[in-house]
Amino acid sequence: MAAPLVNADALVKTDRSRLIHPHLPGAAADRIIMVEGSGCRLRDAHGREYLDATGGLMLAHVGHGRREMVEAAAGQMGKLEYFSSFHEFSNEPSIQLADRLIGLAPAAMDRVYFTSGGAEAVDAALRMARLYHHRRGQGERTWVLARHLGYHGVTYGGGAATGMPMFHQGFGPMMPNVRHLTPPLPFHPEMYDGEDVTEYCLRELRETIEEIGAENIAVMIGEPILGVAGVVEPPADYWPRVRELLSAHGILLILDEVITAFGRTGHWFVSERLGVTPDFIVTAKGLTSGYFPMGALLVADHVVDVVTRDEGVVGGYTYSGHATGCAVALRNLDILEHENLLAAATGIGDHLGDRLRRLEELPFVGQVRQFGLMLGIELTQDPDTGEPLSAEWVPPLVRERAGVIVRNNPNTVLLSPPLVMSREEADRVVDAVSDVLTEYAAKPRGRRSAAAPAPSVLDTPWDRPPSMPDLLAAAMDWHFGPKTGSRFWLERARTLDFDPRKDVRTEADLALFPNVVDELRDARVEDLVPRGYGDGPIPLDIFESGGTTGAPKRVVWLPDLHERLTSWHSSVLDDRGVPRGVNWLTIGPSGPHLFAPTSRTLAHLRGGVPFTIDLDPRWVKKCVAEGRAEETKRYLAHILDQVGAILRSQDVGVVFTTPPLLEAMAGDEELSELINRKVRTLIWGGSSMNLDTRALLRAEVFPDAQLLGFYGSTMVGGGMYERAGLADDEPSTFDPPHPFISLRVVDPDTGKPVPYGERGQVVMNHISRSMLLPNNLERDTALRRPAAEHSGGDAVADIQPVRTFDGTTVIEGVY
Amino acid sequence: MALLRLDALGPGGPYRTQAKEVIRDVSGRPVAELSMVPRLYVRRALAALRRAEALPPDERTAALAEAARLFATGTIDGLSVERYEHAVARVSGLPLSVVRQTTGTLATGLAGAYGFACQARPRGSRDASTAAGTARWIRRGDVLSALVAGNHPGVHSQWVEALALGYRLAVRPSRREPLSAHRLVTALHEAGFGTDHVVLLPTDHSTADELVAGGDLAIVYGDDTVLDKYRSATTVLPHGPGRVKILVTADTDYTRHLDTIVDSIAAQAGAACVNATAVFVEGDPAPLAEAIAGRLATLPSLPPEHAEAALPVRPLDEARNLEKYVHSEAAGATARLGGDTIAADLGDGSAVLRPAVFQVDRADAPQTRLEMPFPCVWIAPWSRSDGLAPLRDTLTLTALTSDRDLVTRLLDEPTIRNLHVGDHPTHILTPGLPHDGYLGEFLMRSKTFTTTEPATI
Repeated sequence: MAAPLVNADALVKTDRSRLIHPHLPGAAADRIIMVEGSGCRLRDAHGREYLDATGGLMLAHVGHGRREMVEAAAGQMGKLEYFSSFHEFSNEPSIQLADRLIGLAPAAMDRVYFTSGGAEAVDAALRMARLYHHRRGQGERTWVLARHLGYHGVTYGGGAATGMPMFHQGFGPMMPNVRHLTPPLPFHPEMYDGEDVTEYCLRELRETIEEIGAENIAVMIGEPILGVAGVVEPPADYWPRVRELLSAHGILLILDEVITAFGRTGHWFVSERLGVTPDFIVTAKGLTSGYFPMGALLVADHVVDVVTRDEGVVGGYTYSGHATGCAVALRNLDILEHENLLAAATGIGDHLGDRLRRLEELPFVGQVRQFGLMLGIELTQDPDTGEPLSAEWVPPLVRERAGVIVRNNPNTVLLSPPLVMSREEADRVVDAVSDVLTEYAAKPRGRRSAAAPAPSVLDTPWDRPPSMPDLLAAAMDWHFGPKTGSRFWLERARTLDFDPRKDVRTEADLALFPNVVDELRDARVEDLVPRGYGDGPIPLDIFESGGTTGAPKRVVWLPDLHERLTSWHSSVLDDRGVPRGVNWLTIGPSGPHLFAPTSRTLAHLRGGVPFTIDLDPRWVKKCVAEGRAEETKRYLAHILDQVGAILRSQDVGVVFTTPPLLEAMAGDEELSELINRKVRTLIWGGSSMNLDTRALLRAEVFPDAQLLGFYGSTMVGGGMYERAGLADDEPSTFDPPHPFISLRVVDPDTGKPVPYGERGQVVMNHISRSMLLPNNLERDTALRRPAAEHSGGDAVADIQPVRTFDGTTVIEGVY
Repeated sequence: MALLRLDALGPGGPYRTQAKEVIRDVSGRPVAELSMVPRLYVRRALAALRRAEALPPDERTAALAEAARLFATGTIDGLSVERYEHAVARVSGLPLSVVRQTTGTLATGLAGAYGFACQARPRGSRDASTAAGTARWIRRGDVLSALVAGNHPGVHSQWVEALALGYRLAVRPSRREPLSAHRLVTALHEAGFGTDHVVLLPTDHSTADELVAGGDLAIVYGDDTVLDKYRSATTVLPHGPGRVKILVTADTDYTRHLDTIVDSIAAQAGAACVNATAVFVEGDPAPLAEAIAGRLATLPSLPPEHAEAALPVRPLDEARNLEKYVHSEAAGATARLGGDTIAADLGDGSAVLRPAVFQVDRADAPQTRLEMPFPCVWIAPWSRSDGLAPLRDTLTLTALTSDRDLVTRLLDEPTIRNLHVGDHPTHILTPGLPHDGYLGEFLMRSKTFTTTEPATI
C-alpha cells in the first residue's frame, strides 16, 4: 500500500460535514474516498486497493482510468467544450454520436435526444409520449403504466415510474396517473397464484387497460431485464406479448435500457434480443462508461414524425448534446467495439455465472441469475416460501475481507463489473463472495443477521491493510503497553532512548530500534509472546533461522499470525491464477522452519493435499562450508529420489521449493517430464534466482507451468511474491505485504537508503499483533526499486546473499 | 571495431544470455561481450551431448580437416583470420607473430588430430575382430569437459584430439581470451560436427565445477591449487604450471647454446607452459645469467599488434602488480635484468612485460619454481650433490650435458615428463610425440573383444 496521496482523515472529516450522500444513513461515519482507478481496480485515499465488481452503479464498461477517454475529452475541450443544442445550434460530436447510435440501435429507432443522464432521459421519454398523443389529438392519454420493482431513476417523472416504495415515501404526492403492475419474476411463482407468469402479467395488463381505459393511457415503461430488482429476465414471451397488447390499444412502450445497453448483456441493446421493438429506448451509463454524465433517448420514427413537427419538442436540458460528452461517448463506443467487449461481457459473465451458481447449494441462496455481466444472487430465509433474507451484510464483509466491491438490493447481491474484467479478477470476485456466503452458511442461524464486528487495525487482514501510521500507532501501543507487550520488548523498552509509543509514527522511525535479532538466539520463547494474548494456553510454534555457525535465532509463531499470513498468501496466489483444489508438493525445510508449515497450510486452505519432502539446510550448509561436495551431492540425490517417488505416484498441481532444488529437478530428465505433465505452478523461494536460469526454466524446461518467485525471511515472519509480468531481462522483483512487512534497501555503513536502482543491503520490518521485529538487517543485498503502485516502502530486485556478515562467510543459496 | 558478440554455442545453437562478461583488450577497451551460461544450461548441454551419437571416424577426420581449413583461412562469424589474430593479440597481449604462428599450429593439430591421438594407441590393439580375440581401444566415456586456459591459444590443440576419438566435447573457454575457443568451435560446427557434438560453455568459476562433475572425463588447467584438488581424481586430467628447466653441466660450454637457452626462455613471448623458467648451472651461474640478461635486454617494447613485437603486453595495473610480485619474490636474489622495472608503460593503459633475470644462490631456492607469464628466469647453481631433486616436477627439461649416466637417471625420473638432451629448445613440440604424455592415455583404454562373427562388428 502506498503512502496516502492526500490527507485522508481530513477529507473524511470534511466529507462528513459538507456532503450529502445518497443512501447514507445519518449515523454512518465510514467514508471510502476513492482517489484513482485503473481497469477494475480502485484505490482509496488511504491507499487501499479494491476490485470493482459493480462498475460503480452498473457502468464503467471500458474500465477505470482509460487514457484514451481522457484524451478524447481533452481534445474536444480544446476545440469546443460546449455550446447549446437548443434551437438550430448543434455540434459535430453530437451529430456523429446520434448517427452512430441510430446505426447500432434496433431498426425502428430514428433520432436521438440527448440528456445529462438516464433519469432525465426517462422524464424526456414520458413527456414525449404524452406530447405524441397530444399532437395527435389524444391529449387525454396521460396515464403511465409501470411495474413494481422497476427502477427508472428518482426525478419527478422517473421517480414516479420507479416501482419501489422507498423512493415515494416521505416525498409527498408523486406525478399522478401512474399505475404499477406486477413484474414477471419467474423465480417467485408464489406471486402468481399458480398461474403462468406471462399469462398472469398479461391478464393484469389487460384488466388495467380496461379499467383505466386505453384512451387514457399514454405509455408503458419497463426495464427489459429488471436490473436493480435483482437481474431478472422475463419469460421469453412476456415482452412480445406485452408489446402486441399495447400496440393494439395505441399505447406506446418505453424500454429503459440504461443498465442493459452498450454491452452489459453482451448486446448493444437487449430489446432486440428479447424480441421487442419499443417506441423509445432510454440509455445512459454505458454510453460514456461514466467518463461523462450523459444519457440518450432513442425515439422511433413514427414518434419522431409527430413530436418534431410544429414547434418541435419544447423543453430540453442545458447539457443536451454536450460536445465534450458526445466526444467521450464516441471514443467509448470505439473502445467497446475495438476491444470486443460485448463478447467479453458474455465470456466473463458466463464464467462468473457458472462458478457462482454453485452457491445455489447453500441453503439460503435462492437463485443465482446472470445475463452477460449482470448478476444477482438472491438470498432467501426459506427456500420453500421465498421469504427474503437481507443481503445488506454481504457487501461490507466482502469488501473488508477481500477488497472486492459488490452491491446489494434488499435481498440480492448484485454484480455488474466493468466489461474489461479479466478471468483472474472474476475468479477473485467469485472467491470473495463465496468465502463470505459459505462462512455464513456454516455459522449458527442466530448469528446470520448480525453485522460483523469492526476489526481493529491490528486484526485487519493482510490483503486489506491499514495505513502504516495507523498500524504503527496500534502496534506500538500493543507491544509496549504494560498489560499487552511481551516481556522481551517491555524489558528492552527500558534501554531505548526513545518512547516507541510516542516517537514511532512512520516507517522511517522504525530505524530508531536496534537490530535485536542476535538477542533472539537465547531469548526465552515464552518471553516473546505479547501478554495481551492472556494466560490461557496458546499453541505456539517456534521457527528458527540460521544455526550453522552459532545458535539459531527463534521467533514465536502465534496462530492468528499464521492464519492471517496464509490467508494473505492464498489471496495473492488467487490473484496470480494459481489453481485451487490441487495437491502441493513442498521440497524444503520442514523442521523448525517456516517454509514447509506455511506451504502445508496453504495446501489445506486451497483445497489440496500437502506432500512434504524435508531438507535440513544446516546440514547442507555444513557440508558446503567444509568442502564436502560429494556428501552434498548424495544428499541432493536422496531428495530427488523422494521427489520422483511422489511425482510418479501422486497428483501434484503445485510444487513449492528452492531455486537450487528446482534447478536440480530441471536437470533431471524424468523429473522434468513428470513436472511438465502434472504440475501447473512452480513456486521457488529461499534464495536468489539467476536471470538466465529463470528464462531457461520459463521458456525451455517448464514451458507449460507457471513459475512464481518468492522471497522471504523467517526472522520477519513471511515474505512476498515476485512481481507479475516481468520480462526476461528484468530481475525478479518483490513487493512486500506492506505495512505488515516492509523493506528498505540501505547502505550498510550509513544505514541510509541507497538511490533507486542501486544495490544495498535489505532491512526488513515486521509489525503485527503477535510479532514486532523492526530494523532487521538481512543477509541479503538487492537492487532498490520503487514499491508497486498501491504499496509502500521499497521493493527489492535481484536478491543476492551478502558475502560476509559480521566477519563470517555467509553460505547461502544452497537450498 | 564494433563489439564482438560471443554467444555461448550450445546444443541448440548460439545462445545469448543476460549475464555477460565484457572482454577487454590490454588497454582496457571493450572488444567483445561473452555470454555466460548458468548452471542449468550446463546440465542440459551435457545431457544433450550424452544423447548425441558421435560422427563415424572417417567423417570426423574429414570434418576436422575442414575445420582446420576454416579456422586458418576462413571468415567465421564475420571475422577474417587477420581480424581474429589481431583481436587475439590485443586481448591476450601476445605478440601478433606468436598468434599467427599458433593459428598455423592449431590448424595442423586439428587436421592431424586423429593421427596424433592414435599415437597413444597400444601396439596390440586392432580394429578387426577375430574369434581368438583382439584388444580394442575404446573410450573411457562419452563426454569430455575441457576447461581451457587462456594464456596461449595453442592450448586448444589438445582437446580436439578427444573429438577425433569420438568424444562429445564441452569446452569452457578462458574468460581472458575466449576468441580462439569460440572461433574453433564455430569452425568445427561449420565443418560438420553437430552442435550437440561440441559445445562452448562460458561459465563463472562456481559453475565450472558442474562441468567437471558432469562430464565422464575432464581436462582442467590451473595452478597448484587445481592440481592438488584433482591429484587423486581418476577422471580429471589436471594441467598445472610447466616449471620448465634447463640444466647446464660443467662439461658443456654454455656459450655454444646461448641462442637455444634464450629462445627457450623468450620464444612465444615467454607466455607458454613450455618456456624455461629456471636454468641450473653446474659451476658459477653468474656468467650465464649475465649473458642471458644481455640478450634479453635487447628485446623491444612494442604493442602486441606490432610486427616486431616479441614480449607480452598486459593492462598497466596488472603489469605493475606482476612487477611488484616478482620483486617481492626476488628478495635475496641478484637481479641481472628487471631488478628495477619490468612493466614498460606503452602510454595507452597497457604495459609491456619486459624480461627479468635473477640469480639465486642455491639449487633448491624456492624461486626456481616460480612461473610467470613473461620471460622471467631464475638462474641457480647446481651440483651433483643437489641431485635430481631441484629438477623434478618439470614438464620439459633440456639437459645440456654429455653425462650419459645423468641422462639415464633423468629419463627414468617420472616427474620430468619430457626430456631434451643437447641443443633443443624447451618449447619444441614434435607432432606425434607426447606433450604431457599422450592425451589418449587418459581418454582411452584397452578391452579384450572376442567374437565368433568377426565380419559383423
